[in-house]
Order: sequence, then C-alpha cells, then structure tokens
Amino acid sequence: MQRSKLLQMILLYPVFLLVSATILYPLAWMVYSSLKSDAAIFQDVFALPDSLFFGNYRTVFVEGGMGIYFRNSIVISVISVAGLLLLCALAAYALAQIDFKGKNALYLFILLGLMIPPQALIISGFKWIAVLKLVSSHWALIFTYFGWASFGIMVLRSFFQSIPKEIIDAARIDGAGHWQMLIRIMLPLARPSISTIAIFYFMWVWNDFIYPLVYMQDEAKYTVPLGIMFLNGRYRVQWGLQMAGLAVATIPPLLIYIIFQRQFIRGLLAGALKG
Amino acid sequence: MASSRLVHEPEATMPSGSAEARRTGFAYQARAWLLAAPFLAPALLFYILFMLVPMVGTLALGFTEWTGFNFADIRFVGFDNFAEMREDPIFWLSLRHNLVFLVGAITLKTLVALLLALALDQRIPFSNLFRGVFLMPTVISLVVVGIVFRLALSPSLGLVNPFFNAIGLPFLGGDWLGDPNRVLPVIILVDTWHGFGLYMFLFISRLVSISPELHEAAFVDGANLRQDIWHITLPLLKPTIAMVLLLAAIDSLKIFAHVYIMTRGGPSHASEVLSSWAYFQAFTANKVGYGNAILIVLLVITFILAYIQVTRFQPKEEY
Repeated sequence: MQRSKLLQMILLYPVFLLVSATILYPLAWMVYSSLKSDAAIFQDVFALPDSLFFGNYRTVFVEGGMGIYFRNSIVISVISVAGLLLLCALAAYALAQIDFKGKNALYLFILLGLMIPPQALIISGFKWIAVLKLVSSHWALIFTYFGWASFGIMVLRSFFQSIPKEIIDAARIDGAGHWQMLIRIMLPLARPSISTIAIFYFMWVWNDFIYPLVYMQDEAKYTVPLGIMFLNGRYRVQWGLQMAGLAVATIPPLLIYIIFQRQFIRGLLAGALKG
Repeated sequence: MASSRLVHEPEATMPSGSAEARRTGFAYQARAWLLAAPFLAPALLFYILFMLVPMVGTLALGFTEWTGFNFADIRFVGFDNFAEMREDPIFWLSLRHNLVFLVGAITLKTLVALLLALALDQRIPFSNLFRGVFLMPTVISLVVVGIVFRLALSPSLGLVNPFFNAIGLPFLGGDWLGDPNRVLPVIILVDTWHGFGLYMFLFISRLVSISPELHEAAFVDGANLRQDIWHITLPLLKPTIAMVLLLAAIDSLKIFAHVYIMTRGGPSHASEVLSSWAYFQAFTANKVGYGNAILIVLLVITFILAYIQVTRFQPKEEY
C-alpha cells in the first residue's frame, strides 16, 4: 500500500504541476507584464520585470477611466447582490414555509429562469430597456440582475425546508409571526447558505459581459469587463496598459475566491444545476 | 424526512379534526395567498419584467420584420425569417460551428475533468491545494480570458509562437486566430481552460461519496488500481458522466463572449456561431426580426437539452 502511494505521487505530481502551470502561467504573465514598460515587453515577452513599473496602472486609472469602471462595477455589484439576497430570502421563505395552493407550480415557474440563456434575451431586452428609458442607466443592469433570483431561491428554499420542525414550532409557540420567524430564526441559521449565494452572485454580476455590452452605450457607464474590452481596442499596441487593466479586473473575483474557497466549493454544487 | 414531517405536523397535535377542511377552504387559501404575496412579489416582479418579458419579446420578434428604430414599423411576417434562414449560408455555417464547438468542448472538458478528478481522488498530499488551483479559472471573467489568450496567441509577439520557436518546433506556430482552420479548435481549447473546473468538481463530489469499503473489497480481491477504477469507480460514475455531458452541452451553446472578444466571428465567418451571427444581424445589419429568429433556434436547442437534464438528472431536491 505504502509503495503504491509513492508510485502514485511520482506519476501524478508531474501531471498536477503541468496543469497548474497551464492555469497559473497565463495569469502570472498577465500580472508581471503589467509591471513592465511596453519597451520591456516588446524586448522579451517572457522575461520577469527587472524593476517594478507602476506607470501602466497610473495611466489605466488616470487616463483610461479604470477608476470609473471600477466604481461602476462596485456600485452595481453591491446593489445587485444585496437586492438579490433580499428577494431570494423573501421568496424562498414563502415557498418553504407558507402553505398556499399552486406553490409547487410557482416554484417550477421560477426554476424556468435557470434554463434561459442570457444571450438569447439581449436583442429584445435592449428594446425593452429602451422602452423603459433605461438605456445607459445602471438600473437597467441592476434590475436585470434582480431577475436572476431563481438560483438563490432554489438554494435557500431547500435550506429553509431542512430546518428542523422543532425549532420552527418552538418559535411559533413563542408567538413569532412569519416576519419574525424569517428575520430572527431562519436568516441567522442560513448564514452559510447566504454567503455562498452572495459569492456566486458577485462573481456572475462582476464578470457579466453581455448585458453591459448591449445596455450601456455611454463610456462613462461601463463596467470593468466592458472597460477592459474598450481599453483593449484603444491601446491596441500598448500591452502593458492592457495587462494592467486585465489584472485590475481579475483581482477582486480572485481574491474573493481565495478567501471564501470553502463557501465557493459548497456553492458550486448548487450552481451546477444552473444549466 | 417524510416521516419526521408527519410526526411534527402541528395540526396533528391539535384537538379538533378540522385541519384538513380548513386548509382546503377558499377563505383559508385566500388568506394564505395574501400572506405569501408580499414575500413573493418583489422577486417575481423583477423575474417577470426582466427575464420573461425579454424572453417573450425574443419569441415574438422572431416572427416580425423590423429595423429596430421605430415601434410603428414592426411588421408581422409569420415564418418568413425561418425561410430566409434556410437560404442563409452563414446561418448554416454558424449552426455547424455551434455543433463542432459543442462536440469538441464537451469531449475535452469531460475528459480533462474526469481524469483530474480521478487523480485528485487518490488523495496524495497537497491534493486540496491543486484542486484550488484547478478551480481558479472558473472565477475569472470571460473578457479577461479572451483578451489574455488573444494576446498570448498574437502572431507577431505573444507567448505561444515564441514558445514553439524556443523548443525547436517553429513550424507549429502561426496566426492562431487568423487561420480559418485553427480558429475553432483554439477557441475550444480556451473554453476548456476556462470551464473544465466546474465539471471536475461535480466528479469529485460524486467520487467522495463512494464508500471506501468498495475499493477496499476490490483490493482484497486482488484488483490493482487500474481494475478498481475501471470496474468499480467508472460504473458508479456513469450517471454523473451523463449529467456532465449534458450540462456541458447546454453550457457550450452559451458561447458568445469568447467569439466576440477573440475573433468577432472571423476570419471570414470561420468562427461565427449562432449568437454572434444573431448579434450582428440585430445590431449591425439592423435586422432585428431575423436576429431574434436565429436566437429562437438557439433557445429551442437549449430548451430541449435543458428538458432532458431536468427530467432525467434532477431527482434530488437538496444538494
């Protein structure tokens, strides 16, 4: 047994290291190239920077509008995720704890949202946003993301249903109504599920590309992904600047992933059902 | 679970036997709805207004002709757009690319995900660290991935061509995204890089639930690791493999950002897919009706696959 473990390690580590290198090298390349001047990049694309050059970051923020994109993305992500958590918690509570006719049909109707591919909605969605006079308004994106509640409702509903009846009955005997039940009992218990959902929604909203591409027609309203695409067109040959923009766009989701890896991995399973 | 429900049903402990009658009565139902409405209304409002309305819009506009500027100009044309599609060589090309992409991406992603999951399941030291690294790409924006790889694959500078030069295989280099014969496989590879992690994780979560006694029994019977994987693990993974294939297929139909960012469907439509062609029709050629009709084709394919997935692979409520 011990010998076969050793053999496995000898066989598997090279594979793991190779895959890790394939994943990490492009990201590392992006980060260290962002710290080189264009001249240094063109001289040798592989080389690590001899000295750290922060000029690209300064240009990207001061001249390239990265600060504005960053602020836009943060505002949109925070409002969208906070709103989604509220919408999901409320709806999931009703679906899990209140008995009313047609509950299951309504739940299936909500789950339908998990199957609709977003890029199939952009053309008519844009016309609809125009009707509502929301083109280039961040509310167009925020409201659209509020429409993504199906995933969170699914996760929270199944959590609320798994809360032991004893706890609920005890609260009811103490005279708790539905609102108190939700706020005092259910939400504190659901904290891990809620953080999982929040992380997922943050990743989806932060990284969303197709809706900002279509709905935001004004450069000042761009989000980070759209902004870096714009920088990519504007600084076509200035790779250092592009790399700085890409690094800035990647750091927030990557940091959140590294810090909240456990919740993220737990959520992946629920996320897989998102089809 | 069901039995504990029965025991703890509060009505069951009540003295009167009229609970059932009360629960089906109209007044009770109306009250229950009124109670539930404020909880459900906000989520439903946004879901309907910003998910279902655009979806119905897509379905409706697909049967019209419209330049997209003035609502008074919308003209109902029945199935004309679909007839036009039959004569549109780029539509068929795009559909073919979608299928090539679907087959290529699901084969590659499933294979990579399965092999790595089996390798991680051997639980040699540092497996969790490697798992964390393998899942990293899934959290990175499609735009970042698209641009980084476009720069890396650049024919003039980039990483890939100099790499092939350095290892003495310069003839392998080339204009990766500008060569009609290479562009689609390259996009499939980039998408695999970005997306295999989720499926790998699905395999891992199934693998950890396989009881270790099964493996031990196999080893006691004299099986080696290869036989254990082949005769014990893989048969148990079969439903997961089927689910992953289907999920990856649905996911592959969402391809848009990679194509839009890396090639815009080029060179000369060599990487055009249905969503990018619909986008071009609606926003560049001002044929909103036709663009939506193309999206309807995409929606129908997606729904068929999603229907199979939901009806066949979602027996469990909890995760």
